[in-house]
Amino acid sequence: VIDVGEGKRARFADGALWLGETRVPLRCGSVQYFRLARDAFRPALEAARASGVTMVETYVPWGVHERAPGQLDFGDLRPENDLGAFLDLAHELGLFVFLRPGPHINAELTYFGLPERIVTDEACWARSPRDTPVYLHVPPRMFPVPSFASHRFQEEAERWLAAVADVVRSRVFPDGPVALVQLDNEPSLWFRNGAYDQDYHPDAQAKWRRFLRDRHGSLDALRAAHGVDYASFEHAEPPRRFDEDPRHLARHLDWARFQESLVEGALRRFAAVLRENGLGALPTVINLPIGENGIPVSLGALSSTADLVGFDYYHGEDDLEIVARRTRLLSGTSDLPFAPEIGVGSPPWFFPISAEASLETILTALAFGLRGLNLYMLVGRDRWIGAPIDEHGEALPTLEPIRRLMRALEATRFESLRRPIEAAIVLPQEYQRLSRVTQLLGIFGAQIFDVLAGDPVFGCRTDALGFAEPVQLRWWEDVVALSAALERHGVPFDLVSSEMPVEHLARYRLLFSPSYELCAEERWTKLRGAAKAGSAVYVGPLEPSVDDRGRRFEPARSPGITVIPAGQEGWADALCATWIEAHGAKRPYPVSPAPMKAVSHEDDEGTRVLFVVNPSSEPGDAEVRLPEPEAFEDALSGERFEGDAPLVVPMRARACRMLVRAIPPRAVERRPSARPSARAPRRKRG
Amino acid sequence: MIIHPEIRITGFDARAWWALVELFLPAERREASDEAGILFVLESEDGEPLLAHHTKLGRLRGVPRAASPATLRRLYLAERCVVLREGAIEELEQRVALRLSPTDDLASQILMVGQAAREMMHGGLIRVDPKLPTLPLPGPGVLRRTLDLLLPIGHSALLCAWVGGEIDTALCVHRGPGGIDALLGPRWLEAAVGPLGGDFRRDYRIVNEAVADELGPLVIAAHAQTPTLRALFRAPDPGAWASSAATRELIVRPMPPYAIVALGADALHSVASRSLAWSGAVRSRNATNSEAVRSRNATNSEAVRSRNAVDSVDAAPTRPTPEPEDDADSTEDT
Repeated sequence: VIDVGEGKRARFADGALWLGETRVPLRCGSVQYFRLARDAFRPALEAARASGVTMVETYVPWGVHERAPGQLDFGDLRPENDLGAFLDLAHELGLFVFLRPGPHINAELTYFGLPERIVTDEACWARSPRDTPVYLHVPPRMFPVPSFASHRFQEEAERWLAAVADVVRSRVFPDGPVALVQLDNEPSLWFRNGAYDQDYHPDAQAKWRRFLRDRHGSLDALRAAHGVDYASFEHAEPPRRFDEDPRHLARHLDWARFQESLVEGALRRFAAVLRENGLGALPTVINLPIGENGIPVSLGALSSTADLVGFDYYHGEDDLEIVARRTRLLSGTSDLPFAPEIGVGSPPWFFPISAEASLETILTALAFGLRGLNLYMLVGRDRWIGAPIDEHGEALPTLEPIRRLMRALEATRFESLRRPIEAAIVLPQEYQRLSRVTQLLGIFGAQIFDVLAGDPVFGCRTDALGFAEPVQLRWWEDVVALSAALERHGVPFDLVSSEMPVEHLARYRLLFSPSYELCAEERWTKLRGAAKAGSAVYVGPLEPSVDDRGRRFEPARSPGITVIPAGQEGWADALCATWIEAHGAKRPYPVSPAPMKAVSHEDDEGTRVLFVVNPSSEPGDAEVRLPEPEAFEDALSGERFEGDAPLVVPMRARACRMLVRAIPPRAVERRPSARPSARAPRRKRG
Repeated sequence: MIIHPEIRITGFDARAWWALVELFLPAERREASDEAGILFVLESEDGEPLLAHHTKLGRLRGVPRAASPATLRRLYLAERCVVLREGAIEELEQRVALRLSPTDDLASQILMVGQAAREMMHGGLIRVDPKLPTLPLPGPGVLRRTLDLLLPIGHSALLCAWVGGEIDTALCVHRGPGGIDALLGPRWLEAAVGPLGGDFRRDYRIVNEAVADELGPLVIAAHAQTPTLRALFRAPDPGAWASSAATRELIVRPMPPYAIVALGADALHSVASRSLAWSGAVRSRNATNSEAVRSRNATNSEAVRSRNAVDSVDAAPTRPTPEPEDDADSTEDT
């Protein structure tokens, strides 16, 4: 159960949102009222409901509703701006609503949905190290991004959110359909996430100094940490580029941490405004963009800012490995892994995502732990290619597989199933910060390379910065090596941010965290806590010797912490062997050949759903070893597979199958594996 | 304004969008494995390589210091080498930020970014080998005047690709007072047109009328089967457009004066190319033949001389000298 706080009438449990006694699986579809003709509201919502979703999602775009400063149109001038009518209609049709009022929304709107007066107001602009505006290079207009620290921007955004709350307040569950609200959109520094890209706005610099005071307490401590002889806190200038002097490393790490706090602070403020304006009963959501390993956010801090932290998914057919990796991290972050946007189609200025690629992405994300999703866009609109329902509410052929999938999710109560996971890799946040500040390619920062190549350390410097090895590169290599080894050995695992609370880490029986000379004291404390709680914790290759404030660090060891020679030849396989042999790590449904994957989802009766994933560009047969005779049916194609010998599942290239256990396993006669035939009559049992 | 800030892009599904994009893709997209790859190097101010990545070989270590892009390209067998000075990207961003305005038209914004990037190349902060072609960057005024000619305000244009009698993909463009304000796809078109007869050579009129009614008068509309359009857009032979139009494989109606000029120029280009090819072939043949004759004569003379010399030594009876043949290939025989 996720506690959504006092005064909220909703709770999250068993993978679903509970509104009173009503279970609402988060199966959601995007319908943007402001881009539909007013008379298309009903057919669009009816078509959405018929697709099998329980909830519709919509942005509320500031720039569309604002006619002049302080003058907002919610349907008086443009009928399609009638947010109230849209919500009332959704309520009438029995659909819940996931509302996303921004202030930033993107939605391929000009200026990302901000009014022109905001993007032309210099007081709102984020600033580069040379005090120039920071442009986001997107069509149909490049524009200077706002500063999360700017008081002017915050005040304007708060007025906007208060105005939205006036329309929505009376329509919150149980009086209306609104059941979830999102804070801002894809929070980061507006995709200009290079560590020295921004934000040097005067208000941000004031916050930076307050941040340093809070973090270091005294001027002496600050001087010692930064290796700079500041005259006072007021003289502590933010770094404007990286310098490789190891004595200044803590200053740069502080800057990266400060940028995270800037984003988090803005989101907290937005949440407070919604609360102060009568929307406090609504559970809140934060959606992180693709490339989450390269953006200035702390998953731990965000998890305490909103009730649900989710990831957005926009992936082509070649990205199934990346989808798996991202979902493992999401699964390690949230008890209800949710995709506030999972691309069904794509914007015209993005690479085209086919209907097939969308479906494989959805299936693969479900395989690795996704429990809730928002199909973005379910209903088509301007500047979107490939929605399965058009803007008049007409279902297109690409809707049918989605409909089948929704039926299968409902039939299996998929959101309540468990994915048995005992192992996790803990991603050190201080190493992520180090990788961000050592990026060499400016605006083409870690996020871009995480998106393009699944490698957030790609553009990092290669010098060792006073350590034995370049930690900014090595930690990621360790994560990749162990992930690959766990895959080879068939051990299911998650990725977990070191910023998550210790109780969260301690849920995993087996933990590994890369460890070099540098270590944040908080991470070590949490690893010790997890070890005390019974987890077997492995770190390596080095014991830490310096913390992220530049202080000498002598870590207290716990009996459950073992240092291993990570990075050496064969270390990852050796660790897997230890976990399997010494700790009895389970390996359900081994599958061959590599890189095929099989992931099971269980209820109290045992396996309920088995996913088989082929991320490679070659088709082939996956051979899944069954622990006992079992029979499965492909949720989308209806093909049937059964047997007790290795189950042979023909796989297309870059594809995922959702196989639903068809009949109780004991009812299947022991027989050799059978190849399926689509829509073939079922074999007789016994 | 070239592009309206509130431009509508609608009426496409993923397949139709991709089909449209594919029309304009280069003729032969080589397999990635056949490419030599691109080498990117980031170097410090004193020429120390900080980061090097080859698109085929991955991250490179041990890249020589202060080497020229041409040297690096040869060394790593790359198709192209791009060397960036550390901080060049940030410098580019600064220059762009000082010039851009959020109210500028997108086309003007892109031109400014291009101009700033070119300055960086001239300043040696970005070095590329082989050098990129230095085409002149038009100003916003030139772009606008060109657009005034191609697609006047209030008018629309259409490209329609057919498969048999059905619309495969399409692009309708409309220009309003604030610039190009609509890019509409086949689903929009089908809804506007209604049922069709099944023969694109007749149906194009209905399609054109519907677009004109819904969007605004058409200044140009081109209709053809998808494979025809694909072939025409992918490096066509001289005269291919004119020939397709003449045989009604490509229907351009209405045809504005610039299209008439373009098709006429294409036809002339074709005629000129063929004439040149023909006359070139004749000249070349003549030259080859003359050369062959000269060569053969020379060879024969030499042969005769040497044979005579031999004959004079051996005092053997002389054989008749073969007559030169009027065939270049015969030189090999001599």
